[in-house]
Amino acid sequence: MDLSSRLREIARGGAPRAPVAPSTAGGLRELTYEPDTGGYEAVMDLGRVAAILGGRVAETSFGPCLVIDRRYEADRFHGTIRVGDCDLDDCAALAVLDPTLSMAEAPIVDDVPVWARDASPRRARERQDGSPRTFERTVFIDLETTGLSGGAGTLAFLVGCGYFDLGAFQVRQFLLTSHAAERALLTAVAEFFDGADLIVTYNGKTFDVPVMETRWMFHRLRMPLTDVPHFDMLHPARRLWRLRPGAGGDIEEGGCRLSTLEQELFAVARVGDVPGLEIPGRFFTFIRSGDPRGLEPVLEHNRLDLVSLAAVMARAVQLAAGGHTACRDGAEALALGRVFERAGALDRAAECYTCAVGSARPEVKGEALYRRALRDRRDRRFAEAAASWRAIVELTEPRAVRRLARLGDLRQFATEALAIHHEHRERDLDGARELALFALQEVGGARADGMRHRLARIDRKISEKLERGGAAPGRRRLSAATKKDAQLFSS
Amino acid sequence: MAQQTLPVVTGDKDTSLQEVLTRLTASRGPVSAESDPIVTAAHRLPAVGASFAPYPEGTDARLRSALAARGVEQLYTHQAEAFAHVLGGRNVVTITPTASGKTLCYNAPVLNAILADPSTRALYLFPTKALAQDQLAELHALSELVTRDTSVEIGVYTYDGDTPSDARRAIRGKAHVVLSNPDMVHSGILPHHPRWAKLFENLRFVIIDELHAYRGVFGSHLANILRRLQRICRHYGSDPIFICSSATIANPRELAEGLTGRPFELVEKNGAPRGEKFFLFVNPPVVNAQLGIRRSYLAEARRVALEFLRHNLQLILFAQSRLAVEILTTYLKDAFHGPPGAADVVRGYRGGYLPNRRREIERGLRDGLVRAVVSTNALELGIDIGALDVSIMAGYPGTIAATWQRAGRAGRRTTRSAAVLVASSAPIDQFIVRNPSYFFDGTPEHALINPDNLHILLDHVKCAAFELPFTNDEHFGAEGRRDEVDLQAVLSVLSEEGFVHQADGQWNWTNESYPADAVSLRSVSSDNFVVVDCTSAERVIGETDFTSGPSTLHEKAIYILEGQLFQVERLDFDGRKAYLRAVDCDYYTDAITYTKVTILDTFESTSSGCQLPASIDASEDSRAESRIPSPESPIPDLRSPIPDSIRSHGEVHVVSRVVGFKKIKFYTNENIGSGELDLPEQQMHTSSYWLTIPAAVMASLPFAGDDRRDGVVGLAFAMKNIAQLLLMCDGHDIGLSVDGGTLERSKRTGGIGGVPDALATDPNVFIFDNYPGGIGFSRPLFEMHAVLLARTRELIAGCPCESGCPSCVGPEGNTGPFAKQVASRILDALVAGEAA
Repeated sequence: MDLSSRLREIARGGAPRAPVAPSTAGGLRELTYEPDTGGYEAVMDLGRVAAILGGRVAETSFGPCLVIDRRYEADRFHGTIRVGDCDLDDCAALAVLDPTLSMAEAPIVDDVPVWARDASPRRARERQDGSPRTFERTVFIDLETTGLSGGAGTLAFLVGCGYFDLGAFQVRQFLLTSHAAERALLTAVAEFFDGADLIVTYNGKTFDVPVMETRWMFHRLRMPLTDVPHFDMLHPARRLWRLRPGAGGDIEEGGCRLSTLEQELFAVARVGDVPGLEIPGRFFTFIRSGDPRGLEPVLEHNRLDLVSLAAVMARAVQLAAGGHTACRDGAEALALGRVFERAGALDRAAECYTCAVGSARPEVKGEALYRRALRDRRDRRFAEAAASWRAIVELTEPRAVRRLARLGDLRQFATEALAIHHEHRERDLDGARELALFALQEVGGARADGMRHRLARIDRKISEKLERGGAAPGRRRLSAATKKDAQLFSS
Repeated sequence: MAQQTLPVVTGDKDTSLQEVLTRLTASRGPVSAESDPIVTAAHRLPAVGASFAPYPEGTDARLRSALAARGVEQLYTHQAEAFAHVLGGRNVVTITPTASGKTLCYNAPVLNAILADPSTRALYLFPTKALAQDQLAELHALSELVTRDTSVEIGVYTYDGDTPSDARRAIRGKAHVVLSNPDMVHSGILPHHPRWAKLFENLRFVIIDELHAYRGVFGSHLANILRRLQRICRHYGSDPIFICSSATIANPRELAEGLTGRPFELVEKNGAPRGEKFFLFVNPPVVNAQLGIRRSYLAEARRVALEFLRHNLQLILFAQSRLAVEILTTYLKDAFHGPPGAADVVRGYRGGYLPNRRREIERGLRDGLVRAVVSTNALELGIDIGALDVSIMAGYPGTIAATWQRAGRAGRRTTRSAAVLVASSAPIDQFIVRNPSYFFDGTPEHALINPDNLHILLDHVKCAAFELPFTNDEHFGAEGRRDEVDLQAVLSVLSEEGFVHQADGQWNWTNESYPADAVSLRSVSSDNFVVVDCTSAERVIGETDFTSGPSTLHEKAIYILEGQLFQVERLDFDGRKAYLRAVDCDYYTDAITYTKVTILDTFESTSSGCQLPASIDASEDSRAESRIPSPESPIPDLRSPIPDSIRSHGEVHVVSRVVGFKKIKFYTNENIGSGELDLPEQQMHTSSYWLTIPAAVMASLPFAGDDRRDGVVGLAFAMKNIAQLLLMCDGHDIGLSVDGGTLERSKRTGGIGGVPDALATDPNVFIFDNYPGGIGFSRPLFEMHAVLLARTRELIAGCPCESGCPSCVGPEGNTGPFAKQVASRILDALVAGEAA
């Protein structure tokens, strides 16, 4: 067997075929592979490609690059949201969504060779005089790549960039027309990014930006993005919308794929959208055949992703700016409360929790009560905290509710917190003892040990008190509040 | 609680050692049993003094004073020589026995270069993660010492699968020296080379430690990884020097050159001192002469170890398997407690122990708290455990190189030490202990690789194309080498399959996959079977490569993991999963495999018959000289053709199918049952060596047809074992088949379970590479044909059994009553023909 046939056999991964006896002379020989007709060598006609895709050829110092521009006017609607309403310039709200953004200094990237480091004079000046960052030119970025694994062999064949221009959303796409044209594309993209003072992506910290950096470093070109603040919308999106009903299905992204969100938040319905899995193959076909028609849906997909990214960010900014009043439902209010709490805006967080306590969903209501109670306790509003603990115990009385994720835990936690409250705050040892006893029936594991420990300590305190001449213990000494709490468990 | 240590023995250690050795060698057994002595060899290796050399010209003063601070005032000659080669810009491979200061051979030039130019980068490759960790501490300490009075900071980091992802970026930026392993370079560094631009732009040194570990499949993969590495270096404009260190093997320079495609300087004269050493071969006595059954070698190893332990000598005991380690540890713990209240003085050590426990044992060995450690080959490689008094090997480690390395675990630079090899009843072990000169006077083995195995090559060409487009005139690996495969042809096929696309003078990667993920460096194909324990809940407890899956994981097979027995309940062949349940039984299973070998292409074939033109002989001879140095042996040169026996090598098609299994009782090895199996057949193309026994020789045998067949099968069994010895490979690296033989060579077919139903007039014995595409054993075996026959004859003739045993032609029950006689007759005829 000749080298090529053996290689073909190995490349196809099949088991080797037993040798055919040569006695079948005269019989038909079967072709075991598609003959290589050399048909791949199509001539790439840039002008024609540009015409079909509605783009233009831009010149760079490394040769021509295909650029496609589209404008989404302010009055146009993306689902239920007006494009013009997506242009929100609110730095404070962004800082709530991603507290690391307000840090003036970008982290030092020390695995980047000196030649690749960006030296934009404007940013250097900004860093020096310490003037606050303003995000005047926000660029939204979304890549289409030849694979999801990263590494030197993964190319960004389409770099989609969006920005607002007089209320309209302007999209500029850079398309790779051959491997040899990559330097031109990367140079054009780098020039475009030069003016940016904020970039916005969806999962870009993990994927898009590292892929671009790899490309620039592969070609040993200057990297423009190393010190531009980067707002990755994926993480705030997960915090805000992971709790919404039905979000559990998509584990990988916490139910927060961009395409899922655009549908749920803005009722965007894409028609004929190209599945992500098909995208690399369409590019490879284009490279081989020179025929760009299969790429048209990919370009459209990329543009819609960019508009959706802007819209989703607008919605997040709207929430961060408006607080609990901007929330659609309790789940959103609870999630927003957590975002505020994380950013240190405690009062606004408390407002959100209070709003979420009104939710009809027990898991939302339960967690909102819990978080509000923790805040109250920390601020020494013990009575308010105790009221929340009681509310949790009441809420989780039905067995069905207790079985819901986390609510069983919350109930145990609340019970214990109530016992603590009676022991230390109300100084009502008998009541605390009563509560601890009831609680012990419900909890298990390590928490039960803790509870037994508590019970033993309360008993010791009671006997110490007796020795000092206190009155004998008895149910009659239970305060009204304790009685009420004790009844919580007696059903 | 205060730990009690054993009394420290210093001055009288030599005396103790002498005493034990005298006792052991005295037990040579009664005179009547002289034909089968217990101690078959007692060798004394004299002490060797140190030879020093000055630091080479150009050594940094800071390095010199740092080394002086660690007590290194002068370099050993081999260190200085290696250092000088590196300073002169030459690649160097150094032969380094244990405790000869090998790390300095590469650490010194690397640190020296970093001091001179702090942008210098170096990449260290170790075969395992544990070794890299071990070296990290030493290199770290030395580099701190070197830079203590300067502002220079030398970053030394390991980068492997255990490196946390948040630390990786910092390491890429800060590391002057990256300690890694081939797997990580293959899948974590090379495919991401733009992220490593700083390393590759300034890469001045690549260090390959434990070079001898890279043979067979692993070595063939590494050679391709280094081809990829060098492409990337060219892309970034660097051209690193390779510094390798190797245990004693026959062809270190050839191996280094084969792995890297570069010319090498060899440093083999060792300057480190060595104390006097005694080397003993122990063969457990025969307890049943008829069946050829010897006393258990584990029990014998225990006896020997206890002799030394009772004399307060610290020892390491090497066992061949994890199971044997556990058994021997238990034996020794039962028999030897040390003084009451003392901590554990006997410890086991093997892969699978947690790192903390390993570190504790290593420390215990260094400060003498641990008196005996029982280990697998985990402690054979450079882990620092100090130097012990005695090294005992329960079972021949398989190669001369590994035996010397294990023996080297005992012996300080100045004191006396001993090494003892206790032979098992395996044919190789028996050959070695009965022919001590093979070991003591012979050259060690050749490490063989075949980087141009098409399966391996194809995988790495994909990886390389992913990393950097190939140009239209590029070669992969050294240009014009003997087995060079046309890269452009490979790329054309990959293009047909859609992996690459040719445009603008280069081949671009056009596939969404990450090709490195599909390659496993420890096997030819990454396909494997997953072993699932479903005793309670389903959990994965292991994996087995695809080729050995059917024979070890067929239904009802007993699978042994760390002494625990499992029975296979179901083998999902298509899903590549075996479901097992823990069982308690007193037998294990042995699969019966049907193997059929068909010759596809004969590359070379010689016989004495005269038909061959002289030119072929000449070219073959010159090649034999250039590749395989004539083995030192008391046997006259047998490489001249043997009349009428034909040796060949070429490409073959192997079909194998597991057709049944036998149940074999533990300890007694009785056959207690069997079963039939119906499993899909496995096919592969590979390379093979084969011996054709001439019809005339067969016809001259005064035996019946069945007995002749038994003889050929027995001969094949013995030949395979000797081949394994000569090739420095594991038993499963080569396969064996005997065919029925017909006149039409193209239609030769094989036999069942290695036993053909009927034998042809001129049968073939195939010894083939048990990997698709072959890994380079066949040609060397073809060239060593005469040695192979001579050694096989020695093995069979030297075996004291009457009519076959597991140590020569196989147990009589398996091969028939006359197998040994017939095999000897055939060999006599083949070897005698040479005299004519």
